[in-house]
Amino acid sequence: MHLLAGASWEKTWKLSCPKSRTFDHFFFFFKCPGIFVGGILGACQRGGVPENLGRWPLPSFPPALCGPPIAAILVSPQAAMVHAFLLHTLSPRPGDAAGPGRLLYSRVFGSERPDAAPEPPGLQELERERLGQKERMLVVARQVDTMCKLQQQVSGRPAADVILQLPDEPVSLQDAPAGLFRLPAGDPFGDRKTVLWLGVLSLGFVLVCDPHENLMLAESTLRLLARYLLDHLRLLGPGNDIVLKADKTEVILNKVLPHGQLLFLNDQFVQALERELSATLPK
Amino acid sequence: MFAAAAQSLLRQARDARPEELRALGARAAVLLQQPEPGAEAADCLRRILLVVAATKRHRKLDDKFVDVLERALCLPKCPPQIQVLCAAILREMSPSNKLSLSCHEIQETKLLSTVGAILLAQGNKKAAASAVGQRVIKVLEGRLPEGQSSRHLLPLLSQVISVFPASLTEDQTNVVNKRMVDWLRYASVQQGVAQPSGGFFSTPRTRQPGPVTEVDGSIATDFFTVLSLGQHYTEDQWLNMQAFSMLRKWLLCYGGEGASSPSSDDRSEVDGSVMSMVSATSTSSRLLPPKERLREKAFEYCQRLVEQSNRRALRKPDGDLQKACLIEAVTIMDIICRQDSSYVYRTLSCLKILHGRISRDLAYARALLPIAQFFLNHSETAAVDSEAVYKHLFTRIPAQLFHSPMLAFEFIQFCRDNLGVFTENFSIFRQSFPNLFKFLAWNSPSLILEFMDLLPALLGPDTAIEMLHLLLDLPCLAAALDVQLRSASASASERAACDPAAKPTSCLEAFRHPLYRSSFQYLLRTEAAPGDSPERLAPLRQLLGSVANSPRVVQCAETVPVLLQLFFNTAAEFADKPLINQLVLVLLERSDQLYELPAFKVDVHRVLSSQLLLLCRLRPSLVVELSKELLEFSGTVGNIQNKEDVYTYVVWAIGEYMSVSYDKRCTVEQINRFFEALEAMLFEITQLRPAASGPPSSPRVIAVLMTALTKLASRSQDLIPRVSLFLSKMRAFVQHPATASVYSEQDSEEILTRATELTNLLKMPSVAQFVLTPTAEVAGAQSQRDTHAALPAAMKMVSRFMERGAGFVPG
Repeated sequence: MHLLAGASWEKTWKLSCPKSRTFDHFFFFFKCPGIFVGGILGACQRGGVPENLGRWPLPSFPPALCGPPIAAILVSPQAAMVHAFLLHTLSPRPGDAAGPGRLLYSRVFGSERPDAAPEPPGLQELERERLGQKERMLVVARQVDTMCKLQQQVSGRPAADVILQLPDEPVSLQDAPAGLFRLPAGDPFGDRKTVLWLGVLSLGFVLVCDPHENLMLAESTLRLLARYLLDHLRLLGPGNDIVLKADKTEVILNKVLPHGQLLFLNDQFVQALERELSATLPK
Repeated sequence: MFAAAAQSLLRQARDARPEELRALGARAAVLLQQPEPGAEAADCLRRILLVVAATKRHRKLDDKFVDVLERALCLPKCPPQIQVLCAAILREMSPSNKLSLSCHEIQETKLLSTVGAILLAQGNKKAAASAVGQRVIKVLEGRLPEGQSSRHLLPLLSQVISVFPASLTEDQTNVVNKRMVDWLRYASVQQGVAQPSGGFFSTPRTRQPGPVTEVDGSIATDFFTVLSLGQHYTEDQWLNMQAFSMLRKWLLCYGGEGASSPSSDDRSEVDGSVMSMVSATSTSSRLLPPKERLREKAFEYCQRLVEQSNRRALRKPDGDLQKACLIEAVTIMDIICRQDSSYVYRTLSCLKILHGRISRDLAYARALLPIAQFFLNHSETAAVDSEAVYKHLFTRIPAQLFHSPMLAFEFIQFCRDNLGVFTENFSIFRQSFPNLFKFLAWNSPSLILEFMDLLPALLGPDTAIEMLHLLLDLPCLAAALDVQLRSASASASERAACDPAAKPTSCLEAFRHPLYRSSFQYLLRTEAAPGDSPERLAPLRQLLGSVANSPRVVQCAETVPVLLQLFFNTAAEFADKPLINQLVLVLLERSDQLYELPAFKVDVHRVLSSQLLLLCRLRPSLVVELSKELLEFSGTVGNIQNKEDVYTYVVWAIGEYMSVSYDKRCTVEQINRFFEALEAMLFEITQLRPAASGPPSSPRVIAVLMTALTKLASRSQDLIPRVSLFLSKMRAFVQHPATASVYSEQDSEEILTRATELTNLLKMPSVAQFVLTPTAEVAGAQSQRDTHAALPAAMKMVSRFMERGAGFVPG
């Protein structure tokens, strides 16, 4: 599997067009499940010179998925916050079209609306904005899915669906695949973002952070969140109606990541939060 | 498993019809208006939330229902669960212009936090941010009613300034500046009392809680910070933690731009009752305006964290927090110094000591990055030499921690953020490219995008050749790193087992074997070694071939073609004559010596061949200058079989550029020599032997060889009869049963058409020369593309003309 920025990158194929056998065509395309971005890089006389194999093209997603133009966004220098939290399923096998990852929960703290946007926006713009927000979450989820697959390959661990976890067996988050990658500005968010992900069995826990966020803190926060969600929602139990427990997810998120603010929680603070959570969330 | 259950629920939710949603809403509205909405209402709301959230499309909710939600949310007696659900639904349908929620009247902090989040998700973010910000400040300013906590407000404030940084006025920021000082610096150092559990029989605590402790269990020596431990925390200790968590963002938003004016009611507290070690050294900050005072206190807080991070944590999570705090503290100090340079000297001495303390502990490696960033930003101001800091960072860290994905990412981001400074001022950066490539080799999927930015900066005339070799050896490097890592974790007995006399049987053994040691060392070098010869890696490449199928090596190999392309495109921008020639030589030489990974070889050959043309087009003379090497390469049959792509392009380049119109030094002898070599090759591959060795070559190679021969013949016209004769034999070749069984009809036809066209062209030597050899102006640059496109057209035209002529003059 090839990869660039999480989208699986299919190689630059050289194809001979059946109708004109004297030309070689150089194709490239990216493949995200469900999204296909591609184009002809160039064509040349058979045995001749490929004309356009110039600078390697960077992936770009259809305009609907992209944020507003970068220039329109006021970026505070080194803005640091968690932009969004996502919980999604990881697809069972690479390239398996039958079971793509699903977004189970997402919460956006930041705003992708340009500061200079005309106010107040019309109904259509609002709907488009909401659509764009959801689409961006899906793009992130897909890229995390790919990244997680690649890391599972590397670590030699079996794919998520192979492991059959007993409901009461504690999951080790320490060994769970985790990673970081960057989303370049404009693709799919207006500004550059850092994506921090953690794959626990077939679930992906994701924080989309601003580039200068304290990633070490973000990492421990993500692990804490994952642990609470797994415990309180019994995410790995059988027949789980996880998507109907959004209120619990909200409560946990409000405690651990209030308004997208990462907290410097020492162990005693964590225990205090745990006590508060147990009081509000009867198991 | 659960994924299937969730999927089916999601599908149901997505397919839910508008009338179903309306019905659900109506029912929820009734339930919510009951005095005590209970489990049934919660269940109903959950379903609505799912339906609204499950789709990308906008779900329309009844205005009346939205109204009910808003009212239920704000009811003082609303059960928390219902409140959370109402808020989630309202937020999930955002942005919307239907809400009538407002935060103006809200006194209760928790509700303000909930409503604030909904308002900030709306379309009108500027207005929302100012309104919420104003309300938060107002509540913070006043005295909170019993049972209310500011804990709910700080994160909301943090979100306000993230969503719209310019939403607070100067007076408002000063209010926060002052409160921040209180929270950060004067939180209680006594532990909190446990909240009574509310049980009827709970006994009131008699024992006074003790003082807070440090992470190592000793009694706290100074003011409270996030690294202070207690069984229970007081309200102001929670605020201390939250205030520090948002401190960096706050300082970035409101800490800069000159001095704030001290307002008349600026109250200044006497420093806390605790004897402060850190503050004992600080200047009397009492008279400073709020912004400057916060800066001072923030600085003290960071100093204290640096000091606290030296303690050995009793629990592992606290040890991790120490590191995160250290990173944050150094970053905040950096920000403070950028806003007020008078802090630079104090910080510098503090960080020097810190660097000395942690630089040898790999567990703290991630904290070295903000320290290095600080030195980059301020060493000029302070006129200190920080070379040692960078040197340590670039030589030690990648070599030892290439396998940590988080560090790798942060390290490369750090490089990326400072590219401008590094490339201009620090030779150590470019020199360390072999070390930086280790990050890439090990973590290719997450770092390829970063290296697309980094590689051009690392590449220079001095590093180009070595980098090309290393890029081609990148999968090999990944394999070697794997061996290195395994060797490091191997037990002592395994290590001792190595016998220098015997040939090593595994990579792990070879790693310690004298035979391979120096090659490993060279491949795993930390700095560029331009004098060294990369040829000596050949045996190592072979040895490491045994791990070629490891997923990491394969993933790494897949990034090479992209980077190679980028490499050549960048190098073409600055390469001079000798460098271009050298690159072509390396390219020809290395096309043979690649890591044994079939897909990798094919990809690399493809890129190398296209880049060869790029270089030839840039400097056509290289064909004449490197004629010896090109002759040798094009005259080797094996090259057709092993690397058809490269071979084809070399032949094309010879045919195209071996001409006086490109280089006056091109002689007839040279042309003849190339002609003979290529003729021999074409003869060899079109020879019809009963037991032909290997599969016949592709029609493409044959077409290119024929064309190149014709081109050369058009420039040395004595050769025309020879090539015409050869071309005439092509019909026999393609019609031979042995060939016909392999080539498709189209292939054969194409070869024949090309042969006929070329033969026709050669019947008019002067036209042939004109058509096949572009003039010097054409060869200029821009119009290259057109000549290639025009070539087949011209050939066809001439061919048709000749055929028509033949029709008129029979015989």
